Amino acid sequence: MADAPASRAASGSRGVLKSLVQKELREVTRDGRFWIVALVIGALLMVSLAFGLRQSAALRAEREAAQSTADHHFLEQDEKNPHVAAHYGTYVFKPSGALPFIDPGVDPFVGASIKLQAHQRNAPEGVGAEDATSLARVGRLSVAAVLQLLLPLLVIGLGFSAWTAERERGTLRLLATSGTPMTTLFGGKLLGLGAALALLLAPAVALGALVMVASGSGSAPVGRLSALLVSYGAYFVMFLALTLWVSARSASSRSALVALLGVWVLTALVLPRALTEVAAAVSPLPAPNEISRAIRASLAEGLPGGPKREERIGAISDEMLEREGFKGAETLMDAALLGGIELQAEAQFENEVLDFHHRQLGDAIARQESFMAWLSLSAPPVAMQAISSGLAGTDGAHHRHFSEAAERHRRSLIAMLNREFAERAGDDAWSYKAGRETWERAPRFAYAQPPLAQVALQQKASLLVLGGWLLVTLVLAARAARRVEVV
Amino acid sequence: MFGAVVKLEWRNVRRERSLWVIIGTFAAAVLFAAIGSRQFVGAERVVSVSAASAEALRFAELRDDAHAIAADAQLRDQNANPTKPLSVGQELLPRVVRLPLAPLAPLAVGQRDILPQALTLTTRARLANATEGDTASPARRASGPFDLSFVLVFLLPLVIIATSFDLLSAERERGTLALVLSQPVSLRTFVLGKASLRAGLLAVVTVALVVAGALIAGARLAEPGAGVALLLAIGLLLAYSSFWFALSLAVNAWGRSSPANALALVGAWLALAMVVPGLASVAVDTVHPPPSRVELVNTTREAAREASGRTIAIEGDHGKPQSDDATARRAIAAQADLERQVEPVLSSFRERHAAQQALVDKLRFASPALLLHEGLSDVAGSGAVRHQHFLVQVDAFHAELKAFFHERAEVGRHLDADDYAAMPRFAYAEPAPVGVASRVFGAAFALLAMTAALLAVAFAGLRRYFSRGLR
Repeated sequence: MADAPASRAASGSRGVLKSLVQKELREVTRDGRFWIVALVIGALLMVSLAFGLRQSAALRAEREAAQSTADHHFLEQDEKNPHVAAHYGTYVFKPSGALPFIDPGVDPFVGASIKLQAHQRNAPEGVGAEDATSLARVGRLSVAAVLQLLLPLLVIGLGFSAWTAERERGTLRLLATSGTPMTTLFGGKLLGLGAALALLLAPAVALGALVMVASGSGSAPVGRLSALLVSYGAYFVMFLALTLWVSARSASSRSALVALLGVWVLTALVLPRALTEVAAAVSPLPAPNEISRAIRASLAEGLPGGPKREERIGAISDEMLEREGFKGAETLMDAALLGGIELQAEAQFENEVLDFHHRQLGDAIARQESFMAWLSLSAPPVAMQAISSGLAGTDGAHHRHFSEAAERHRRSLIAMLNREFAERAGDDAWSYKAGRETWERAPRFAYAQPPLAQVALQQKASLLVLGGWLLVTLVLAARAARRVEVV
Repeated sequence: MFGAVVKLEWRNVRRERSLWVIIGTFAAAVLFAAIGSRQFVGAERVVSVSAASAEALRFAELRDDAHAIAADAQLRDQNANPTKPLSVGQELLPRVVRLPLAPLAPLAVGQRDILPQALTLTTRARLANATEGDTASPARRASGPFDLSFVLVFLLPLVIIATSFDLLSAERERGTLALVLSQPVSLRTFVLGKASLRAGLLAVVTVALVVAGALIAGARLAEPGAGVALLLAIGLLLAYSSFWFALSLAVNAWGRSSPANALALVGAWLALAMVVPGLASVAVDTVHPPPSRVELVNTTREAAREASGRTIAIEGDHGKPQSDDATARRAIAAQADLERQVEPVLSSFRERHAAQQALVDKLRFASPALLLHEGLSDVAGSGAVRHQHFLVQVDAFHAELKAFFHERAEVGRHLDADDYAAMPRFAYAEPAPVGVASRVFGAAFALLAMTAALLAVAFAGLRRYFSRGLR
């Protein structure tokens, strides 16, 4: 009995909220400008979606074809000594994931193929951007760019006068006298404007989903897609709350607009570039020619502070001989077996050197990235960029994941060919030639993107930043609503 | 009367705190960009010097060894004989050819962080650009650099918009417009006077900042051609600024409220600086899809496979004796064969690039931002056109290098000190400045034409200003 009025009040306020949401929605959708902007942004989304899909389909087809050609070349090579085949090597191509059409990330700026061969770890080559024009740098039109840059502006355009216009028109006073709590009013505005935004995005999302289903990419990564949807949703709500907060605190629509545009220019345009520069300056990466010189030096001399090259190779090959049970019987072994083991010992030494230098480089890059992630505390679009390209599988971490997988594959391929030489060459030694039957037994390169959980772990700082901003802006906007000046 | 308006506006401007805050922020952005450019350009210079000295060292080492061998000394490494033309050309002395930084390089990164600035050449077939790898942070490439060009192309229009969007509307909204117009001054003179002062003030500030920024960033203004290049950049920049001022005037003459002006101008900025370039790049990619490197890799490998079973077989054979003159001749013939087969693919690659660039040259006129971006890249020597010029010279040098070593290998000559002294060296020859100048003039002319058109619209709007019931 006692809670009847309360529940009536609750259902009443629910009714009020509902009509408030409807009112906001109606107000927005009656405005001709909303439809023009919606149309323009909708069209841009469609163009970038279509363009992205076309690009990524072409890319995928190209890389699949290239991979099968490369495999074919490896299988069809002439008969030759297995170690000569290791020099001949093969290529692996980065399989393009299912989602680059949403966010190309750093993909156009990193190499897509790696030549695998004995004695060296080659850098990825074939950087797409080298063959694109300078226009691509000024305006990179992608679904992600539209969502990260333009949508926040639309949100600002929708909401900058949400409170100030009510006050300027005098309707806020009317609403206040009706006894509607300001927080309910805030809820109405948030939900109403959010609904307008959802209305605008729905066609693009539906079309995107339709295309993904129709294109039959059966392995559509549902987890990654839904994570993308949720994080972009959080990003838009965050901007909406920010806009409502500024609107509630501003003296006039004009000053609210100026402040919000300033925030947009700073966080979406200036800081993404400025923070990258700061991160690059604070944690500089060694120049490519310095790295290759250091690697060459270590390969010739041995690792800095470690044993000399020949000593280390000797130690490794002793170890291997011992493991195989040949220790002390070298003079009795056939030349090829000994040669094969020595080749593999050399390869293992090279791997140690490569691991050492690449680990140093990887650490520097990781430092830079984590620094960047924390800097993004000052600019949510930067955090969103990281999350988006991470989920789309096109960020730096995914590139390194691929390049590591390729290197692991190189090592197993070279080890297998050296073993072939050791075990089969016999008295023929260097004139021994292996054929197709050997090439067929070589390991195949199979690459899979890291699981979603690992991506989430990599992006934890950015996710925390985005979540923190969402929470703080919502709280600030609700508090500002309670204190909004009615007159 | 014009002079009186200008004087009055100067008094207003001096007291307008927000204007000075905006100019201060802009100056801070220029300074930030300049310091960043200084660091990166400095690093690029260090890399180029260290690479050059490493190459010189290697060269001296080989030359001395060759000399020692001639004097019957013991060879250090049997596999690295510095008197054999083919081993020196193919393996022992890789040549690093570099596109040197132009004097105004710190002004714009342009395509410099993407297109390879240094290539490693040997006498082997040049199938793909051999670079030192791409450890340069891909994140920086993807987000684009914060250089002076970014500040000028994107932020300067915003500064102009922020200082002029309410040029007329604010006077009307404050009620001062009626007051002013009670004086013997026409609306047109009044608006022009106000706009001229602001445009002039910003022009002075911008030019001063750009010159200071370029100097801080390490531009070498004393080098030949630098002065002309800087003048070209400043001219283009002034034409760009005048476009945005004229746009702001036209919007003000429309007679809407200040927030409406601001939204319209920011919308125009968004369209011209971000959306149109994006669409233009989509158009280029659709009309002339970028040639595929992946395909190139496979085609060349296919050709190499057919042509060079012989040469490859030599490679991995550790411990086998090095080739004699006959095998050298065979290897040279095999390489020529390979190059003949790959040539059609490479030339279609070049043609596609040329077609793309031709379209870009036309499409840049679709957006003032593109005109300035391309113009600054050209002036800074970081554009695609200069790089293309570099690649042509690299091809010529490669041919020269091959001719030098192959001639000697074919007759079985052993390299001596004279040969080392006569070895071809790469020196980049700058293109004639006329090309850059004509591109920049074209851009500036287009910007001024757009400005004139916008001013005409603005004056037409001003003539009808009061007939729309505005006071």
